[in-house]
Amino acid sequence: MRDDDKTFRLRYTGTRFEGTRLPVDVLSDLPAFRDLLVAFAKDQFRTANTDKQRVPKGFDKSLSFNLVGIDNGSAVPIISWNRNLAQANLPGIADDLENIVDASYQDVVRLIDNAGSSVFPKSLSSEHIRALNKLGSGLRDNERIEFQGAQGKDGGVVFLDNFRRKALITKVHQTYQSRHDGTGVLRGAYMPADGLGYLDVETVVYGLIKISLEPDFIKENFDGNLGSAVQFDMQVELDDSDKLVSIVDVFDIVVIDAQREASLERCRARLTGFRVLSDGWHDDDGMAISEAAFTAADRFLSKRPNRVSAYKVYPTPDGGILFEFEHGEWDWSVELAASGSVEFYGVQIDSDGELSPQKYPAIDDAFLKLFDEKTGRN
Amino acid sequence: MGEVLADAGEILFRQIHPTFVEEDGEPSSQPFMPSKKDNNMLSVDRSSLTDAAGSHALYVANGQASVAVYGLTVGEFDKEKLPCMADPLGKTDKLTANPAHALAEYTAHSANQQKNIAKRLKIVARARGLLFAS
Repeated sequence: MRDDDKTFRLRYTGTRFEGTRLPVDVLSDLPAFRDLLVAFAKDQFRTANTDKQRVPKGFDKSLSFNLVGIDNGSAVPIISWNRNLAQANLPGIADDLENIVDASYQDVVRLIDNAGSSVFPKSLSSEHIRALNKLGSGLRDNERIEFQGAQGKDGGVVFLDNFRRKALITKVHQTYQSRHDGTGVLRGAYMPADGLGYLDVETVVYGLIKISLEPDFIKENFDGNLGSAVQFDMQVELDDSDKLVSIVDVFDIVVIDAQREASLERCRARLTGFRVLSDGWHDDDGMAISEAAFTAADRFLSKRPNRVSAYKVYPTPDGGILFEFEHGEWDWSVELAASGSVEFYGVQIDSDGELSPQKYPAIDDAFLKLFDEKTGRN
Repeated sequence: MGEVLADAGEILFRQIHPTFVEEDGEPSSQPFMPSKKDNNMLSVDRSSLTDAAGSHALYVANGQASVAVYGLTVGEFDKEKLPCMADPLGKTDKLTANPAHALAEYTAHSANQQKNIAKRLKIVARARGLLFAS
């Protein structure tokens, strides 16, 4: 083992492991641990390199681990990442890989620690799940694997036992379902003589999607509307990267009326105009509007076009975007920060009522729920 | 800073940056609260010492952008617990003097509170009407 190799210590606790014994039926945990760490490492690489769909050739091989010893203290197998091999497989990026290995180990630890408090990711890739199925599969009740040096939320060392394994394996799936409402443009309408027809709808979030519907419904509602904006409300199945896997159910889909479409177009044109604002646009103050704010604004318009004719749109000096509009007795604001986070607030026009700013990390379900409660859905 | 403004009926002019006006002329609430660089003090001009057109002309001549002037009275600021005070500005190498300059003080209110205060002030100012447009 070289001095600069990175080592991980997994401490097995339980009577079977006393006297530094490591039963051979738990040895399969070691490649499983490696596989889980590699699965997270691939996620880390893709997150840091959004322009690349795949990890570079040799990435997998460069994450090679060796069992370099077994310490006392029940049994503590010491696993070492082979930095030399990484250097040979991916010359020049061993330092980057070291950071990725560190971050991936933290991902593994966090996943297992969170499972102890019933916090699970929405989904994981099949690669993660395969590794999880193997890791700790030889453990018996009252046995556990401690990740030495990793402190959990409860202040103790992070560990995997059968309870956490079962919770993780049964709670985490490769896909999950989510309600998705938004707008798109109708690109095609197909009405076969027999069986389901479908619409091709171009969406901001998922690109071109096929929505299966009864041919009569398509003929009655969409025939002759190619190029029109449509609004939809669907249950969708997404993978762990939030990519659309399938449309589970369609609750509502309608052609947006021409006036609303024109209002949407007006708002989008105004947003496009904000792209010319450079730093200092507000009398030497004012930051250029961030991409995160533009994305959030697109999402807001797509999610809630129902009040679009009332929306007034302004840049904010902090690099965000502010939607203001009146509805009923209230004057509302949806403020999108440069980070893409959201504040929703408002005042009653002719009396003292007010909603103080409510913060959300994004245009998410919680924000939309409050927005609908306050402004009505239709 | 100078004297506290006591005439509740005196209108104070507020300049509106072009980006804070929508295509239909609707102003944003943002000009009715101080931005971060303003240190909780909103700049206005006193109607007892200038008029909306004069306020706008001086503002633009001093290198800042404005396409509209709205007004709020000292009493309307006071209703939101925003004391107003005279703050005449002397001539500098680059700027013409502005004896009508005054400040509305927002320091008693958090940034969150200021957002809804600004919305209420915009509603009041809009009801009074646009006082000058370029």
